Amino acid sequence: MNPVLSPSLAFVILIIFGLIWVGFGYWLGRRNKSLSDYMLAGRNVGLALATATAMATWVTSNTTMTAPQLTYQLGVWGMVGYSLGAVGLILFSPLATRIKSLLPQGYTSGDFIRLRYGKLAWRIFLVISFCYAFGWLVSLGMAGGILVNALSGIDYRIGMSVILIVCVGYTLLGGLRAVIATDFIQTLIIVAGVAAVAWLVIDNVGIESLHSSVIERRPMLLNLLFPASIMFLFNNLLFGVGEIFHSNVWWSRAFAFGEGIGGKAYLIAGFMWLPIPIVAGFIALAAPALGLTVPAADMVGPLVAGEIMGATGGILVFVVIFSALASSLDSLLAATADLLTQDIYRGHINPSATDAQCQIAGKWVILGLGAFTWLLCFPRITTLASLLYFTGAFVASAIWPIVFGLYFRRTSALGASLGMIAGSCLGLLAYFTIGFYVAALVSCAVSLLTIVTVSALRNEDFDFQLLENSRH
Amino acid sequence: MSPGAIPDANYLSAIRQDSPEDSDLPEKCSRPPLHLICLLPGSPVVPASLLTLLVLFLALDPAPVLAAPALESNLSVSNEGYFVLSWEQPVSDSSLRLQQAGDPGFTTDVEEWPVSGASQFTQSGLFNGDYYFRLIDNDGSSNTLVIQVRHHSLARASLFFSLGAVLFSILVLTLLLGRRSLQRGVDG
Amino acid sequence: MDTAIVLISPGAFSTLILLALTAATLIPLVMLGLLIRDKRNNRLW
Repeated sequence: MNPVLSPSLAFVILIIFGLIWVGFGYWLGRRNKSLSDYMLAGRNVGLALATATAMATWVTSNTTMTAPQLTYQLGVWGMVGYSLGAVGLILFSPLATRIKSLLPQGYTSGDFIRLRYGKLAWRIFLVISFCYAFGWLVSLGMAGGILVNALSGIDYRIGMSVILIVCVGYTLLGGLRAVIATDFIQTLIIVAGVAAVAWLVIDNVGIESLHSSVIERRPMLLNLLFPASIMFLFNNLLFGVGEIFHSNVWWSRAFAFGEGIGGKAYLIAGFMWLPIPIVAGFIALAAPALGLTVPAADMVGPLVAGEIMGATGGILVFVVIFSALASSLDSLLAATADLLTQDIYRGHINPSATDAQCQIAGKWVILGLGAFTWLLCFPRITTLASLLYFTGAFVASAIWPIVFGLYFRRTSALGASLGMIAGSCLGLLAYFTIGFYVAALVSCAVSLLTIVTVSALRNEDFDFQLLENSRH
Repeated sequence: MSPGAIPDANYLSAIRQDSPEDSDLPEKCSRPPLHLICLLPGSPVVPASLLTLLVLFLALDPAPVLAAPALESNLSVSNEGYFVLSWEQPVSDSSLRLQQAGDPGFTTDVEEWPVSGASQFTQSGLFNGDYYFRLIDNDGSSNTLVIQVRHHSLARASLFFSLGAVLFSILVLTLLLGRRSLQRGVDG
Repeated sequence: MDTAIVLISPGAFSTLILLALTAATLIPLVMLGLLIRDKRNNRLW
């Protein structure tokens, strides 16, 4: 495939945006004084920024690339199914309120699991969290390099390094404040960019003629009884719920948002996220009408944009994808660094660490995490990125321990541990014996049965006051 | 959402397109289908060094000369109606086209795409049936590849759909119950 | 077994797309509105 953008132009865009983000991060970071400021943006983020950061983090390079890809592969239900990822955000809304009131002084999702279920469940949960976080980090870093390479011809290693350095740079300088503020601007760029391309598709091709040329050439895509895509719907939804419910990316935001903000912010973010995959996916359906030959399904979005808008389309796609990558990479870096600092450094290595020591440790952790990700991405071992796909089995097993643990005092700690282990194992088994599209489903079902059975047998009782009174 | 829910050959295909191994080869040599990268989810990728060795080994192997490059696919039966066709990239052959037809003689339902400069093609959205593919240029045509599209049965699809629907309903109910018990101040 | 086919009609398809696209176009405006409101009330952070 010919790059849609010249390497020099792409490089200029990368450098300009990189400098803006890093400078902005530095400017915001000057206001950080305490550990809460740095890790949780002062715990008082308002509605506008809260909503934007939830949306932007959930729109990743995979949303702008995978939504068109899934539409191209699984048709209308692929597009709608992907947009059901919004359900995870919407259902997290009541949880965010509950989390903030249960643990007003909490820092991470690990804090909750440790205090609620004890050390065994906490360690299992940390394994699940880190598998997922590293899988996601590496896949984002690699996607960055590969996309920059595909769009502009810039060497994979250079593109990947620049994106990582920029994200580590502003996260390090500005903490969660920088992550959240850049997310706001990145959301505007992503949504406006995707909508602009879609309007131009309608203008150039027309919905009617697009519909008829898909019917003619790829009829199954518009079939509402497309079996594979019907199977995909709920698996995708539960995968998304599992990701959001367990991951510290979303918990740290629940802690950071101001009093009474979290619930509203996640709800609005969910509904505003809903149309984005549909719009991005729709772009892919223009490929048959435009007579495009598509080499790889995930390049269909950029191809259509390039065909319709020429060089301008190339620049637009490049900027949108760079924003989408950065908005997720920064959040993931910050949240994973928090988990490492709070649950590994303070939890396992230096339990008597003060807040000031944690803040310094936190900065080194971000730097180390960035370097580690860079090392893993550098050789471009693609199997590492595909690791992310198994994590559906892991994350879906954590849904019930979180939900039941937040609301019901009789949820058994042993049940939660066993649920996570059994769900993950059988989910993985289903992945390899049946197929990827059932891993999250099976894991979620097994974990539910385990936790309910064990809780019924053991009759444990937990006092929620313990959480509210605890120091973290 | 973070992971693309469908494991796909994308990362691999991106690698294939600009991997140095390809450019090391004598450009005009034709050789048997070379498709060592397995495209199934979760399967290991052959390490690059091993790939190079095999490429060199295969390149030395004398093979019948085809007019158009050999055509391959990542699977022969597709349950989803999509699949990736690939071939070794020829030296700028502007007449290269990919043909699809409903019969091996390429007489019914023929479709054609210009694919000069590309080395793969992703097809999707096909109904059940046997589809025949070949590459064609001014000098002749490649091997013919048949892909069988056999969608999952609706019964199987509805089974997974129902399981998902049940789990989702339990989740929503739990959240509603949890909230209600909090409002009543019972804490479960 | 042959595939069961229920194609989405052009009308339903365009409604879905236009609804989503209109919503997506309005999102940046809603977000800027929220930002200005928070800024005025001094509740940005």
